Amino acid sequence: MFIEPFVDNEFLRLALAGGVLVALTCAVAGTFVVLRGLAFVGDALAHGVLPGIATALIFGVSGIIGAAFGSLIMMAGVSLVSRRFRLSGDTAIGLLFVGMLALGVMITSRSRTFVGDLSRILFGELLGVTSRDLISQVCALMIVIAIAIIARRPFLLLSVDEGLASSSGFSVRLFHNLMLTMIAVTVVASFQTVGTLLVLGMLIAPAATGALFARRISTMMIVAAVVGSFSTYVGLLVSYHFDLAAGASIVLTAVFIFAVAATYTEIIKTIKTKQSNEHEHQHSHSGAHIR
Amino acid sequence: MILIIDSVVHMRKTNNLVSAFVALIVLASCSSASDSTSDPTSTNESIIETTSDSVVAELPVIAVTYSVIGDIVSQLVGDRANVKVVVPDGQDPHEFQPSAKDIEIINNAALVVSNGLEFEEGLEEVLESITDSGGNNFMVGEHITVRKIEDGGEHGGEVADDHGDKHVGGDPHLWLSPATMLEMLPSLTSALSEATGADLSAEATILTTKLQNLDQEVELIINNLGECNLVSGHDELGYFADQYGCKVIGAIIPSFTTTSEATAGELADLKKLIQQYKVPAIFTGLGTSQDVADQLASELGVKAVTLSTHYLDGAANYQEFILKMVNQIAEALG
Repeated sequence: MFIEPFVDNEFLRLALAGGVLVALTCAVAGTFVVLRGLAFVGDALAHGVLPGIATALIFGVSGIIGAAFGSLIMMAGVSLVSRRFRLSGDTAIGLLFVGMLALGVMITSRSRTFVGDLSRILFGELLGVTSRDLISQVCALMIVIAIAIIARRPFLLLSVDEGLASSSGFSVRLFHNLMLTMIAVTVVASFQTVGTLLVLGMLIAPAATGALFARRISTMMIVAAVVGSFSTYVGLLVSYHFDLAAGASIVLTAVFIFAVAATYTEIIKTIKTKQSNEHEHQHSHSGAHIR
Repeated sequence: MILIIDSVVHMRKTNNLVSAFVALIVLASCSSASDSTSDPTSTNESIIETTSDSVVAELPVIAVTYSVIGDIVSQLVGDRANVKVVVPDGQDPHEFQPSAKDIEIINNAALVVSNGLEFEEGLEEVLESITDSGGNNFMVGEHITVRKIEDGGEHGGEVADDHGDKHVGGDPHLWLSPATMLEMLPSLTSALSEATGADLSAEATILTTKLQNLDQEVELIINNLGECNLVSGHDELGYFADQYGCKVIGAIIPSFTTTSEATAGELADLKKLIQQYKVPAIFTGLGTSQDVADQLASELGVKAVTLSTHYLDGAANYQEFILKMVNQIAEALG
């Protein structure tokens, strides 16, 4: 029931491995996305890669190369528009986001081959993960972890306060771009498994759950990794037993876990404040008694 | 003073509102006006009337939704009509989204030939509007015996049993059986004769013979195979299998359309069935994930063969298209 599907089916084992690798990569990158409020940029990157992937698949090049190009154009475009035209960051992001998305849809709608199928780019092909995909996913995980370790201090300061980062002698622009690159690597490597639309869920939901419980960044990442991996496992089981789309099941599980965790912390908080109130009440009461 | 400015500002605002309102009304009336002018029957009738009087006859346009049926129509009308295929050869007719030009072609055609079994999902609205406005839409599905998936029943048991819910309506993949095409040929011929005003009985006789020969040839190839157990990308080979004595074991996407997605449970079921029936090959094609098919095939140690089932894929005509597909099937299963 809980294990046999994976024992019996290689494609499920590969899907689980691919999903867990995505979960780990997203745990690292997602923590910074949540802390620094980059969800919109993450979403934009996830969609910005669409025309790149579509073009690459049409020309028979690896989708990852196309996705990398797409994310580069997206990042360069966002920084150019927001810098040159005095428009707010989210306007620039929004502009490029829809622009790239529309371009992607245009390319796939007129492609004469079925490999450029839009829905498969958006929702991924978790059930078709190959060992080759796993290798590139491992590489992405390594890169993301390396960036996070090398730039852990500036990233931490950036997440708290930009001013703090620059007064400590770090270039805000450089490390902001590095952070975006990290997110881009995550998105690019994960599109094969969960798709460009659902990767955002894996980027945000587990990390947000981590942010509920943990104060240290490393603890947040560990919670996010556990939640993401567990969601992958549960999502695949749900897809197996109830015949539901795999990628969507995983992301929905992750969001559901966040909802449960958030409710739990709220309840704990209410109980705690109640207890401390009662405590204070008792104190004053006993004090009065003594008097 | 302030009051005046205030009122001016207010007036501007109301003016803006009013002008926006006016613009919307104009827009609305424009669109309804263009609707009435683009009424396909009226424009077409006028074209036909004028051309029949004049010496230089403008060919009537027959719009066919996809390339396979498009070729059959072409073989029937020859050079008596201008056959325009909406979904280009190579694209998925299940998912195709029309451009403005495509809609124009459909709206202005003397006759529209479509599948009719919710096959062209992206064209549904356009085709509906044709029927609603009294235009000519020949739906092939109305002139054949439609294959429906009954609960459980004959189609390999388990897959149909468990996932019958995904099979809505009738199976639209009627063109994959030449015998089914023969069934609708007389009605199509008369519809085309009416639209073009030409006698197409000679062409119809020729094509009937060709399709009968094709039917026999396919039957021969499949009979030589012995066992013919089919696993396909989505549930697309039903008419073909029913006609020529094959058995549909299952599909990666157990649905009549490619817009569905494969799930882990369905794949695991399919895997068991493939092992149980010792199926030597999985046929994939448009709308199915090549990666999923390859992965499943390598896990089972069987072949994954790409099959063109929804468009001509460069084949010269319908007959060649069917023969190519059948030969590929025979080669993979033999």
